[in-house]
Amino acid sequence: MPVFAHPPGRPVVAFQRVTRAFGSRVALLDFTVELQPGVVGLLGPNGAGKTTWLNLAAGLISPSSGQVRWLGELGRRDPGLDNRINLCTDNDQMPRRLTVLQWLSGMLRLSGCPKSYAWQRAEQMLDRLGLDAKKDAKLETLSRGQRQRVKLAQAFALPATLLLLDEPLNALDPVWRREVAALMHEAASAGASVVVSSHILEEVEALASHLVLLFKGRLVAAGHQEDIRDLLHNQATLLKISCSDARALARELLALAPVTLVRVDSAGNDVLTVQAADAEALCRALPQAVLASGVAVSRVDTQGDDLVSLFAALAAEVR
Amino acid sequence: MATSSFSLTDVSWPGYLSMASAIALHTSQHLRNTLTLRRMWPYLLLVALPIAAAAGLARLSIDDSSTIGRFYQHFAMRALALCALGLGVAAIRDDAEAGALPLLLLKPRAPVALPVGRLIAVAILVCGLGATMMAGTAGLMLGTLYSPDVGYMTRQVLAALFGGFAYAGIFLGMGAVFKAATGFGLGYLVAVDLLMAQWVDLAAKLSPSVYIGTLVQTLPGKELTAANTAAEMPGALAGLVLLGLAGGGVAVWKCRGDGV
Repeated sequence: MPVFAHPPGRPVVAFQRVTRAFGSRVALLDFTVELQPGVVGLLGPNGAGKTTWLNLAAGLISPSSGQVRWLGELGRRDPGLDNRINLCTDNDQMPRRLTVLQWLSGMLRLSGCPKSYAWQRAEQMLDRLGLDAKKDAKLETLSRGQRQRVKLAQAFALPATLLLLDEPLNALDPVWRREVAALMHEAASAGASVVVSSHILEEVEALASHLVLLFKGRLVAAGHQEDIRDLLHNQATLLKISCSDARALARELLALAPVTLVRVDSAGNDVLTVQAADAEALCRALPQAVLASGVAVSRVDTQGDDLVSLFAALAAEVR
Repeated sequence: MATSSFSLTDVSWPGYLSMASAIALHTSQHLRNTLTLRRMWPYLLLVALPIAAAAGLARLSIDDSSTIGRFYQHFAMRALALCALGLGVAAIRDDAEAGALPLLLLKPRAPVALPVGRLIAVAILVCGLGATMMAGTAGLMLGTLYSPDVGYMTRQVLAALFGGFAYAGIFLGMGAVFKAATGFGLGYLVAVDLLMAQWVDLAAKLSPSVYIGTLVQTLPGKELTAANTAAEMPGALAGLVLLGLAGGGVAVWKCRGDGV
């Protein structure tokens, strides 16, 4: 049986108008998205609903309304499908007194691996993730980064069609980030859909070809990374400029096409705030405007370009 | 970094672990993780208290036949219930609070195996503590005024074992359902098991201490006779088993549903 095969054309997982509430709190609202094989970044600030999305995709919780389909099927009734969804949670709570090998092989055995194979596979995975020397160490003695690698070893040890990784690069140093990224691409090139959740835009951009953006439980954008990047760059941007003569610089900036608003700080004549519809166009035009005004600029700060602001702007557009 | 023998795709397709093996694995892992001095010392202390009290009681030699009954019913069994409270609540609640349950409950891992395995592990721990307590107290009272006879101590040991199982199940179930399970458990011990069980019929049915009292024949107004004991023992044992299973059943229900 081909390990990662799934029916061509069918999304690995599809959310159709999924809403999930916990009591009166709505964690995910009217969410529709389809995932194909490849590395997909699930991006959103803390509290956006990423973990709820992952738990729904894993079939651990059910939607309050709407449907989740795996390989086109409703529910996880196909026993073969059960073996094809792996998960790496974002917590590092593991039985502290067990050794690395005992825990990992135990998890593989619970997934249905015969005992001897589970031990062999666990050793292979620990070897790949640089933990071969730690296999007999108790989990409580490992550093956070090492525990993260043990969790990832568990997620990658079994073949998967859908691999759900919640903040997988937390606590990893650059060497192991590269190695884990390589593992993700290996799985994706074998036909798996690898979902990487994070709240760090740059981290996911480096890994994923496709992005799904969540904000306050709502889907704000989904698609190829370049399309999402364009969407983000088209958001209004605020620059705060400290200079020797704010009014002189404001006159030059108001003549620029992308600038929509210029405000001189009322406290003095040395700080102004500039709003532009196109951040890139403003950044290209700014040096020329500074030279033309003849003022000395001591500092330029961007405002509203952090992830939360960008997501808030996108969410406002969706509404 | 040795990668030569590694392949993500060249792996055999796993089968399914039988339910019994999965339960056994969860039981052994939980026991291995819990049976350390660092985690067990509060419970060992709780068990040492009745043993120490028994030693003192034996030497006081108060000539009151009900003293020993009250000692077991109201002191030793309470200490055992507190052990079950700590161990039972932590068995699932700790993982739930830490967000570790999704990994343990994700299919193809059988979600039923986790609570059942943990229930067995907690029951083993609590019953082990109960047996230690009984052996300690009986040993220290041998040759004194309270020197226990075999029949009496058999009923006490049965009460400790079956009562331990009942409390373990109840508190495991509470730990699976409630965030503040320790508070709920203490409330249950005081309000239902200790007070309401004396007057309210439903509370008496949900109270292990009433079944334990029946088993060791220390309920008020009961005459300690062989006939009474023989007639009521099976019902009391069954009541304790059912309470333990009901608690375990709640944990299973919680883990099978949205257990995360």
